[in-house]
Amino acid sequence: MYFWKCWRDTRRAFSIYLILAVGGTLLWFMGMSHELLRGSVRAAPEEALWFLVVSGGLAFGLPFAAVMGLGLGSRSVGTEVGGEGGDFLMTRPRSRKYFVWVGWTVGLAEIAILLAVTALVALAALYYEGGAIWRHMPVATHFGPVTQSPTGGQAVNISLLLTVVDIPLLLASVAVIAIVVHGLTYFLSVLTRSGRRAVTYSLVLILAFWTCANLLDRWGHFSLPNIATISLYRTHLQGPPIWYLAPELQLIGWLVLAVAFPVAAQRVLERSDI
Amino acid sequence: MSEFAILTDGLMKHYSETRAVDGLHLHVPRGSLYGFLGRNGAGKTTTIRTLMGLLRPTGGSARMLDMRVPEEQIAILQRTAYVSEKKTLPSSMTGAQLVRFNRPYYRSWSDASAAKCAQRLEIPMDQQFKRLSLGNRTKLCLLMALAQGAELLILDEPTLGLDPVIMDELLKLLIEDYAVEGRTVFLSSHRLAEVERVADWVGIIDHGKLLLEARLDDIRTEYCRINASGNALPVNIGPQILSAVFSGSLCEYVVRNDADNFVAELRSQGATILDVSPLNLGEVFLLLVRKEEPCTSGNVGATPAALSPST
Amino acid sequence: MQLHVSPATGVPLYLQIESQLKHAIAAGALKQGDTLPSVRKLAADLRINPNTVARAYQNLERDGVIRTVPGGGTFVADNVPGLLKSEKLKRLKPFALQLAVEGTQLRLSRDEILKQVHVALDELGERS
Repeated sequence: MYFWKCWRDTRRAFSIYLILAVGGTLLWFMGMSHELLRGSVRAAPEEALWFLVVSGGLAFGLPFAAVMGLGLGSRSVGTEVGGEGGDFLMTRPRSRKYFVWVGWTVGLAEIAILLAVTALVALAALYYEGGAIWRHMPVATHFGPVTQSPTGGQAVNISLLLTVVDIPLLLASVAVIAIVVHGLTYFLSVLTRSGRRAVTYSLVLILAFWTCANLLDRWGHFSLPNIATISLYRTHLQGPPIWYLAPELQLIGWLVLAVAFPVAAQRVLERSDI
Repeated sequence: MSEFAILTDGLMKHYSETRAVDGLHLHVPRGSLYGFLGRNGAGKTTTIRTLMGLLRPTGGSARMLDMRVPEEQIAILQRTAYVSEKKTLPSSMTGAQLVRFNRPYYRSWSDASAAKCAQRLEIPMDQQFKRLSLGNRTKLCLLMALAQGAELLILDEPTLGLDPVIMDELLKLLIEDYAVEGRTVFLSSHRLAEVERVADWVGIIDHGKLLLEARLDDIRTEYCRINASGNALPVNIGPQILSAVFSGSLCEYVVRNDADNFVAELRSQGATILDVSPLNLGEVFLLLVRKEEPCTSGNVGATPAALSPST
Repeated sequence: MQLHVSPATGVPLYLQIESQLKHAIAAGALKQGDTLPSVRKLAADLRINPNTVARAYQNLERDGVIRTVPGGGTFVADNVPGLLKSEKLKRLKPFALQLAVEGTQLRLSRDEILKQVHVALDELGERS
């Protein structure tokens, strides 16, 4: 059935992402912890490992989640219609709604599995290096403008970064960005009936948004609701934001948007000629 | 239950520039093998895609198996099998995988029928669809449709890329499994010779409109060619004369209905009748379609209504 | 016995089947009580629509040429009944007309044309 076919069509991409995520996580924690704990830095183990979680999440987790969303969202019933299987699929006794939602659900499930597996691998690596460090999660305590760049400078200022980033929000934002980018790309793939066009347009939109958010943040002195920086929200505000929603509510808002994409895709497909 | 498997009432599909289907009134009797004929671009494929719910009609209405198109499309699709004009299937699957994929959608699916098709049509079932030749692609599409065990089979140009041997096997399969089971087959084609053998009903479409819809045997009885010689042969003596081609004192008439009366009339005017012969489907097709073309005066065009279903 | 139909001639297929079966019976190739193929089989063999075959069989049965036993097959009727004389003549007339036209065009004399008819009748008589 169509579930099986969706899995079949995406399993190669899924496997590649899985290998990259698991391999990358292991390399990051094993390699970097060696440097931080036993190398030149010789930091306190708990702080150092939490620093790895935060910097890894910011530097690799967020972009990788977006890439995963792009890749897994680029295949949809729309690409079948644009390719060879459209007439066949669309004349099976199922509604167009069914095809849109099954494809979206399979993608979502794959993202969930990838995130869960990566999280488990990360936990295992942390435990291996530092024991049950999650019992003492650092809490972001630095409120107000940050005058010193947390990651910049010659020496890595581990403590400062940990006081700025809200870790649960960061982990949630990695999941949400994957789901939102997946939804956006999925919608574009139904709209344009081409995986390649969907990825291109999706990337253009994401980069445009990211650039706008950065420019406004820097020069306009207000923040767009940006998933990528939501973990800094509480602490990193330079000027008055135009969004006063709590970051948790913002994330829920993004998830609502993520579900709106397949709804829109369904509407588009139901109204169009095949 | 109505006597028609497909019934359209002024069905229209207009695009901004063209009127691909322009007020179509189809009556496809249940249990018939209906040949839907027309030139390229006449509107055959657009009609079929609209019936299958792939295209949204711009006007008119259609019913398939007594259900409304497209409102009851899912129920229609449950009981209708379709081979599209593109002859494409999900390209990364093999025949065997496609069978496994397709089976659960249909209560009436028959693995025995699929196996029979694969064997009789010589289909390689373990190759990915995208690696198949055009002929094998067509055959695999046919297998998917035939094994579905549907009440209504809609085939858009089903003979694309088939060699004569396979073509012959396909006709046999269609007759054995479909025509005698009381199921309805609606097939579009411009290969008139095949249609002429197996069809019992024919509809001829041009510019999105139906020019003729009739039982094939009635068409054969009604259209006649008469060769006559004599002086002062009539040029045009009635609406039933579709064409009159003169060469010297000879004239070839093509008439519809009442050939006997016309022959008697010619005789009474002193003409000698050399030959009276029926027209085959190809000749009727050319006659009707050519007549539609704008340069000829269409004073005697066949009206579809006159030949519409009469049982 | 083998039937052949040719759609390209434009003669309705059911008429082609009827006339071939009648001819076979007249020529003795099919005898009283002989079994005819089922509609299904004949249609599949000839690759033509079963409705066409059924129509031919119906007409033949109406004319008393064949009989169908429900569930038991189709047979050549025991005694093919005579039509009304006028009906028979009406059916034969087009063939006579065609013969006359062809013969005249070939510039054969009246006697030569008639002789051909006699020869054909004799040949048919020998076979039955």
